[in-house]
Amino acid sequence: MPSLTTSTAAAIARARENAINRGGDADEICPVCKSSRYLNPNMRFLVNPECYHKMCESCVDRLFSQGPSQCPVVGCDKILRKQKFRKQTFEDIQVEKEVDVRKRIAKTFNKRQEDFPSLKEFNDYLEEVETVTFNLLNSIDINATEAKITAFEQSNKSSILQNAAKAAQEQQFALAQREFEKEQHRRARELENEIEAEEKRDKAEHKANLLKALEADNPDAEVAKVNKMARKKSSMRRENQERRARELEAARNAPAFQFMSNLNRVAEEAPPEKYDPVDGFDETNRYFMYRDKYESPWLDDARNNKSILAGGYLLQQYYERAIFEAFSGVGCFIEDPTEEAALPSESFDTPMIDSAV
Amino acid sequence: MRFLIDDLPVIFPYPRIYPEQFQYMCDLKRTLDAGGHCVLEMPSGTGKTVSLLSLIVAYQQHYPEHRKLIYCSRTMSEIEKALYELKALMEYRAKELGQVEDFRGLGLTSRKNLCLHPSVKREKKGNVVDARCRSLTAGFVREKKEKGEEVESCIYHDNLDLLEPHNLIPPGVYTLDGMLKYGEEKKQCPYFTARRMMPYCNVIIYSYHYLLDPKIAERVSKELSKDCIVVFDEAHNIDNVCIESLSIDITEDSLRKAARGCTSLEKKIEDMKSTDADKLQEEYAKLVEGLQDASAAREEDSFMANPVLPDDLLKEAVPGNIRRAEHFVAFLKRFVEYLKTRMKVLHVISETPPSFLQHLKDLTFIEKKPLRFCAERLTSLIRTLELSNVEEFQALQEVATFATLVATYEKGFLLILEPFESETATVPNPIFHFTCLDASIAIKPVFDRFWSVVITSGTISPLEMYPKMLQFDCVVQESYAMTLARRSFLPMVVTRGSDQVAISSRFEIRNDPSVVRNYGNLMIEFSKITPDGLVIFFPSYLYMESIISMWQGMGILDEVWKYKLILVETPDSQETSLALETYRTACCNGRGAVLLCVARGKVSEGIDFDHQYGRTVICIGVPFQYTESRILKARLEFLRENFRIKENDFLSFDAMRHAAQCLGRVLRGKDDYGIMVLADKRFGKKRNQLPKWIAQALLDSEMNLSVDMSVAAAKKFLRTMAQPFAQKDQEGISTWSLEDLNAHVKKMRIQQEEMENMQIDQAGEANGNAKEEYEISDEEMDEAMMRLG
Repeated sequence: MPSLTTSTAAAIARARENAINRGGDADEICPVCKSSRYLNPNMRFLVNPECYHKMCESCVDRLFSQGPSQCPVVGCDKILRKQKFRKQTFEDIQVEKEVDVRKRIAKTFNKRQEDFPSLKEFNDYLEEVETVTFNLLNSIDINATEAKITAFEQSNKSSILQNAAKAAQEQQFALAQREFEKEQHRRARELENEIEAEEKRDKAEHKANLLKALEADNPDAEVAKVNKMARKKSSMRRENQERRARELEAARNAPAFQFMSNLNRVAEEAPPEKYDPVDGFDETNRYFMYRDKYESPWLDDARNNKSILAGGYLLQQYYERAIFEAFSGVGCFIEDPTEEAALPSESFDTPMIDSAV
Repeated sequence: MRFLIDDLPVIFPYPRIYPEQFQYMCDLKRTLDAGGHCVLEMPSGTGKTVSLLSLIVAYQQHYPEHRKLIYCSRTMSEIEKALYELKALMEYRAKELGQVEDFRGLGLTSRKNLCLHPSVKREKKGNVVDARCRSLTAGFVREKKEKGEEVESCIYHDNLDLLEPHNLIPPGVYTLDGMLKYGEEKKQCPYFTARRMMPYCNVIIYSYHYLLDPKIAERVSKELSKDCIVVFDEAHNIDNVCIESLSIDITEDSLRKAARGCTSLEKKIEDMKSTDADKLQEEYAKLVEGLQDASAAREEDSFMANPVLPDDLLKEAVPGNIRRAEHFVAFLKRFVEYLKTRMKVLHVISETPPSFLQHLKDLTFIEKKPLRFCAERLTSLIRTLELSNVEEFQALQEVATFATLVATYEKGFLLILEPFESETATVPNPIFHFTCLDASIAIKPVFDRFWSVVITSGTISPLEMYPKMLQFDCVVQESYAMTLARRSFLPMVVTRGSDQVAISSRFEIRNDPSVVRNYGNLMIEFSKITPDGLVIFFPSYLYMESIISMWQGMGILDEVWKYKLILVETPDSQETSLALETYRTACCNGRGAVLLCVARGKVSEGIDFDHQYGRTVICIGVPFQYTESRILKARLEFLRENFRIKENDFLSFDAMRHAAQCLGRVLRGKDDYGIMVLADKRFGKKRNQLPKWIAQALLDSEMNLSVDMSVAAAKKFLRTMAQPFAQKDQEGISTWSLEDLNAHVKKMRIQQEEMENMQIDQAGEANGNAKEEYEISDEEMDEAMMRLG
């Protein structure tokens, strides 16, 4: 399947333009300036969610670029602003309006089924919400309805916030899940391709071997050998495949779970640990100590030579480096790392070495 | 003849029986005894239907459970044929037993075929007949009539109420014609007679759709008891039927109609509010309680679709936001508008139901739950509003069904929007395909509900594909070879022309002049030697047209005209039936004819070319599906991921089942003979995908022929066929009389006893010298493994 699923919202917007260019009968003439698509093929219509009267883009520019003004449609006294104008999503203006109302309602009335003791009560609540929407839409008892909404908002402030957060989280989860599934999908596909390629390769190889075997002195024996090898290989491959298939299956069946846990971890946001640039390396040494002075005939000279010391040469640093180098690697065990933790403290609690360099 | 299978006395309505028929019955009985499903492949033209019916009827009559038989077939003519067979069988049984059994066998088909109402039956379209019939027979019409209102009703339907409800028609077997005659005589509606008598029938014969299409099954077949025996005959295409029954295509036109339906519903609600508000209130109260009441309404009342709903949905109450009628209509309106918006997109989209639902919710605030109830809610609303003009709401109903399905199934479905009809089109004509990818969804209720489901056909190879695709376990899975006294059909694979150029319908070379000419030569040669009818199948209409025009240019058609008439199948069914009729006439008189048709067309399914109507069938090219179709691609992917069926395996399986179906058209019995030519290089590797009975007859020497070689073979074959062939020669080999049968049974029993004895002996020996035995078997095993690998 070609991955054709795209961000549909953008696609719809684009398509809308095309659709308008195609033109329906009703879309042909702007009700305000009466200019038709025939004269202006690039005409686009906009609506304002205040009154939902349709007009063309140039009318909007002309009427509202000076600031808010009244809707030009006769009998409509709404004051409109230019920013609020937008493209229409739905063909039916009534539905466009309804969706806007719903957007608003959904922000407030977002209770979930878990919030109710029984299904019946939840259904009653849903109906209530529907009635409120309907009233707003058809202008029935607007005042009473508005009051109802405010009252509901007041009394359920906290639960509204909570539910909104929950919904957002759910959405995130769904998104992540879908991504995960896609990934799984891709992996499975890859694996299958791999298997197929392998099979093909083996087949070709077998064929080549067979030909070679036929060239040999006693072809029968050689052929039998090659066949046996191929059988062995194919049975191994089959086993391998089956195992992989099982793994795949398991991975496919698990996703929901894994994701839930992943998501929760993200949601908790554990405080990040302090950043450690050297990744836990401890500089303090356990094995040796520095002395101020080591006897060394060729270094003694330097200690007293002013011309050397004047440049900032410190003998102390030289000692440190030399001893550090001598001891580096002590306490690292490559063979059995399990004992690593235990060893240094006991057997290598070495006497402080007063070694002369 | 009468014989026993185990302890079951079977009465077979012919004096002789084919060995494979007997085998078939034994296996069938085994399945019924074990109580499971089975897949059986029996060569076409060997009396599958009659053996099936006679065994099952015997089974019904002998055992006290009287398990009902539901026999599903594909087309009207096949249903009618099965009914005739059943009728003949029952007559024979009555004669043999000396008494008429209490037995009812009825066929059910659409209203269009069974209507007697003087004006309704004249309608041409099936759905118009349905709608008009409903408007005359619905429950509220009668109620109104009882109240004394002036309403039109159907006298044929009303007369049924005067009869005893469980005895609308006396026992016996009625063919569809018989039903119509009886109905006319007694002035009663044959359609409703059949439907209401279904619970009291021993055998019901109808089309697949009554069981598989959830919209119909819910109404017609819901009450059938669990112990019914379900048979799907001609089932090689059953997966496609399943898929089609759950797929929905939505066009801009249907959306417009749906929107109109919404508006008119709105109006009706307003009307009702002002006149009869109680009724709406009553419905509302009912919905608060749940849907059970709605589903308990009388049968005829159910107006519209009812897709498979999980049981939990029926038990749950309708969500509050679509409880009120006006809310629900607004809801539907929003959904329709949303779909309209989606249709405006100018590039192809394919998405899964969850992503569709998410987008829907973001844009219109429609939740998944109310969407699931859509179809049910609409049905209930239409019933409450007492709407009789259902046609108006058909589009809306489709949208509602779509809504329910999309919200119910997350997996196994895909939504594909195709804005253009073809790759090159510039004017958009969007179609929103809601395609079912999983054939097992539609058939699952059938397998779950009934103990024994028999899937059978003449060409259903490879057998193991079906249980995989339809997700069921079968107890018996068998393919029968054809026993023949002489080689009565000659299958051949022609891979190259006389000039040794490989012939194939492979896309790259299909229009090469050399390939086309070789195909043309093949046709010319066979039209020269074939007596009477010659049938040629092409993989598609498109290819057929192009090749015919090329043949015209090459003068090939002129050459063929010297020997035979040429007739062509077209997508138009009326033209095709005219062509068929002419073809038949030409085969009966004169030199015969050539019929050029398409492997997936109407002719390839369900039209028999027996005897002189088909002496040679040529399959030009492997009839693969059009692989660029997005729906097919999606389905292939689904099959690979879920059932681990590889794309190529499925495509090849599908092509071969169609090819086999075409080949099977020509041989319709044991006294028939015919030549089967598979003309494509690629058939050479597909031999094991042919049904066993064809593959067995296909000799190795005839796997890789050129045109001239095949003609020579065909000539030789026809010469043998021309020899006199007496009925006597077949006896004991390909047909058994009762004595032969008994002898066979005795032989089998002796063999079985010997086997048992041997096993006992072996077991004794094995105990004696276990160690030695073990060593030997180990070695043997090694060897066997080698051979296996």
